Amino acid sequence: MLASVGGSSGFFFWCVYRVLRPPDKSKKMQGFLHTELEIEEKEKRQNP
Amino acid sequence: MSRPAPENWSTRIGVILAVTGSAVGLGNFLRFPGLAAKYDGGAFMIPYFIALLLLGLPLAWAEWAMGRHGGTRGHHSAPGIFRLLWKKNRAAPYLGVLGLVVPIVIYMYYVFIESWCLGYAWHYLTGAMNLGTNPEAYTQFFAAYVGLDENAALFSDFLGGPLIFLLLCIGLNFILINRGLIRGIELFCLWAMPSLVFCAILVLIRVLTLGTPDPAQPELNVVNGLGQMWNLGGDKQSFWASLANGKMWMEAAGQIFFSLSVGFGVIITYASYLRKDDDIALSSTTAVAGNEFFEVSLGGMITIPAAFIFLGAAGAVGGSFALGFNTFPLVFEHMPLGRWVGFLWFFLLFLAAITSSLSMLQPAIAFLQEGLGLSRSRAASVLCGVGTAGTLFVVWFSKGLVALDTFDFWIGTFCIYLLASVQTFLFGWVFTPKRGLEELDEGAELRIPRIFGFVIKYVSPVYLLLVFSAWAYQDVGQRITSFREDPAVRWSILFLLAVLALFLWWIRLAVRRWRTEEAAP
Repeated sequence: MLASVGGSSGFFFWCVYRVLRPPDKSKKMQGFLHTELEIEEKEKRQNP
Repeated sequence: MSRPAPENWSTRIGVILAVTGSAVGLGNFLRFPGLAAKYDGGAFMIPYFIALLLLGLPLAWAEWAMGRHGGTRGHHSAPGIFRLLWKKNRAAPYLGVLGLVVPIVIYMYYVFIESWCLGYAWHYLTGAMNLGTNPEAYTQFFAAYVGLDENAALFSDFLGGPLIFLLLCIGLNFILINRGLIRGIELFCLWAMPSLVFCAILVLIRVLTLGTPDPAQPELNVVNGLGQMWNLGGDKQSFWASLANGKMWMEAAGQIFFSLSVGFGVIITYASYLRKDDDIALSSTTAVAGNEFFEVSLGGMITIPAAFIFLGAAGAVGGSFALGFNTFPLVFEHMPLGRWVGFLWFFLLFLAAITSSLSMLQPAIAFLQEGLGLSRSRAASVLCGVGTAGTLFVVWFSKGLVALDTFDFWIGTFCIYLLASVQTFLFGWVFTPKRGLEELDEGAELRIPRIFGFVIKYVSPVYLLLVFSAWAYQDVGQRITSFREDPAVRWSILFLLAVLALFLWWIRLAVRRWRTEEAAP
């Protein structure tokens, strides 16, 4: 019981803490931009 | 282009609460505790959490990613998003019919159940729920309240009976959905979800402070009540024996699957109203965690312990309706301050239900707006007309709740598996995990583990197929027999086919409209 209830509650409150924490724009990930750069670099490495 | 002006959620908390509200329902407070107690609590939680990791979370992430991807490209409904994702396949938008029919049909019977919760809450508030300590009285009250013994029984006392609460619920859903995404759904969830937590915590405190209410029966106490819910059984052998039970694994996966509202067509629509740089990774994970908090930490601590303390082990069993509407009123009769706890309990069930039923209307409204060019107000009116027709059908065939049960089986279970399979296939094999992870990473405040790509592509489909096959093997044969024998089942299936045909026709019109728009210079 302790593991299940504690785990579920802990997981939820950790998420709530992360959501309510003041946003730090610099830490936001950039999915497509990041990947495009990676692809570009990879292509350069493959076809120098 | 004559598409409606794009709508977006106004706050991040709003979308998280709306998605959590959609997922949290009667299953969290009634079905989960019943299942966990049936399979020795601790043993049940192992397949439950494995299913959460391999099925629930991956499907939720996939739906959020596909939804936001579609939304930022002008589509908010499953047909539009599926067409966008699978451009090469002309049938793709028609697969999206499941994302419209599943939520609207579930709404048809869910709003009826929602009205029971509101009606019971009102009866407790006004002190009218005073039936004594005979369990039979509560069973008979429930049977009369929902028209269990005779078809069309509820229509005989239209304004004085339970139908007045049904009309209230339908009206409230219509008003809120008509107000729009921000002023309707989001605003209501911002108020309703904290109220739901508040009610649940008050009920939880009452249950945990009951001690040993009957000194003549010292074994019926809070600690043993919690033990009834969570204990593994007498020894380790029973724990391992429980773990070896295949049916438990299937039911645990089914509970995760239905509880999180994955495969309902709702999350994909809700996520489509996010902006391109909004976080979806942390928001989706929080919505899942919120649902688990309601289910495990609140539902798991309230329902079975309360029933055990007053009724013993024999009273703490039963299906969702029996536990919620027959057993619990009897528990409140025995409980100090029972009338007020009863009101809080049924009001919290009502809030859990209405935040879910609201979400079930939004996918089809989004489709009618973007596919047929209707205004939100007209789309809401058309949809509420279709929804109310279905609800009245369910209420008419109330004997044995046959229509409700048939809708729940073929749409609320079978079609949900189908839609989840379609979405898993689209995400894993058409959209591809690579692009999906890029979508999830866009604006993310949480890095989704890379193994998710492998899990959603290979593990989740196999898991889903296993659970689906086991479920079909167990239940479909019996359903085919009841189709042959019961005319009400046949009428119900005909009704479902008519709804399916209507939405397929609307998708055909929408596809033509989208092609014309795309061909225009």
